[in-house]
Amino acid sequence: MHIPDGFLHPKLVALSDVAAIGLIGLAARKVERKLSPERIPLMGMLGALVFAAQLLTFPVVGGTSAHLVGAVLLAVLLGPFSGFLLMAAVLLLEALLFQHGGILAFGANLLNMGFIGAFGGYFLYRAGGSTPLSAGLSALLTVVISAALCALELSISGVVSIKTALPAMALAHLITGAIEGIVTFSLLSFLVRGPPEITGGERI
Amino acid sequence: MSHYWTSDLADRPSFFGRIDPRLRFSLFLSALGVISAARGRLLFGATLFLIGVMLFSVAASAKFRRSVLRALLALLPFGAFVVFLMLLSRGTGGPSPLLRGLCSLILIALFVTTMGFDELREVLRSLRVPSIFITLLGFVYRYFFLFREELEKMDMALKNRSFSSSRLEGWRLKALLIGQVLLRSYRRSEEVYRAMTARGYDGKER
Repeated sequence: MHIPDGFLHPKLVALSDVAAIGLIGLAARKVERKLSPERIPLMGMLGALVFAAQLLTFPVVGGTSAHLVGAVLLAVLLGPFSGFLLMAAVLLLEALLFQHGGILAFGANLLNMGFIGAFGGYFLYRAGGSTPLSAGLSALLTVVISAALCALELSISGVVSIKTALPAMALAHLITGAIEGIVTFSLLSFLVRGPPEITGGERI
Repeated sequence: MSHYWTSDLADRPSFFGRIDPRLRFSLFLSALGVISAARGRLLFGATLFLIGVMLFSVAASAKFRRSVLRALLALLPFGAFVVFLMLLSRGTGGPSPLLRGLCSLILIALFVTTMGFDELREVLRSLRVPSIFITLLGFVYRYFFLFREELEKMDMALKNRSFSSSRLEGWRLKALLIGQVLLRSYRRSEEVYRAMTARGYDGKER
């Protein structure tokens, strides 16, 4: 789902980069104004942990595997703006360290995974009653929506046709989404039994 | 900081090292922009040129060799999936996106080997990127290696000691493993904050 550079139309790249930069600025202002300084190291560490956890593979079938995205998890623990900002940091480092996703395509990748995951995921989590189960379901849904958006962007750019890309991407990511949902649900069910500050801390 | 950041060339005196980091960053972005919009002969020429630069750099630096290999491997799953979709949707695409993707990956690998992480943070600061974002970027970069090592060790232990054959149970156990490290990171973050405030930290990056 990490789109490398060169696959998207330059106009789409410019548009998504402008939108992503604007959203990063907005989220940074909101977090800087409202977050107490002692939460900043925790935020950074959670971001680093999600980034490291993305390297853990979850075996699926026939030698294939999936990995965690973690945007919904971050949004549930820290709030949508903080989760989005952390996803921006994680995706930028991922692009630079592992070349997963492009630098110019950073905006599109951030909107697909960070925005949909953090804001969309958080909205669905709240709408579902703010339980680990609703977090798991919203994690599943956001992965599939992100994949569908990726297919849409590739077809707008003329790389593939929407008729084949949309079902193929959505179906392929249904399994990834199911794993994301199960992991998010299991993790949050485990964490609600831990110190209350973790799941009940300030969310921005 | 070296770790994954292949800053061996960035730390050494070199032609690139003498160029102002902000100019280097702008040149890198401009080159990426040109490649992203390139078509036909220009794209073909740029691909040949960058493959030449890559081969020369690979011969000169072992770390760059690893960096390029990692970059090419990163393109493989997405590239293969897109090629599969292109074959299904006849009449769209063509090889141009793949060539542009290859060129961009070579450029990113070159950029990472010639610019250290601290230099990049300086560039972002000069571009007025919000300080909270730069602080978080620093935290994520610093602690990523620590957590990766912890998770890998715990994952290995889980694989060696787990007798569960169910895939679902395996996924759940891995989630709990991440949860354990998350709880530890929470306690660690309190210690880190105390150490930072002792050194004058007040929530602002300077």
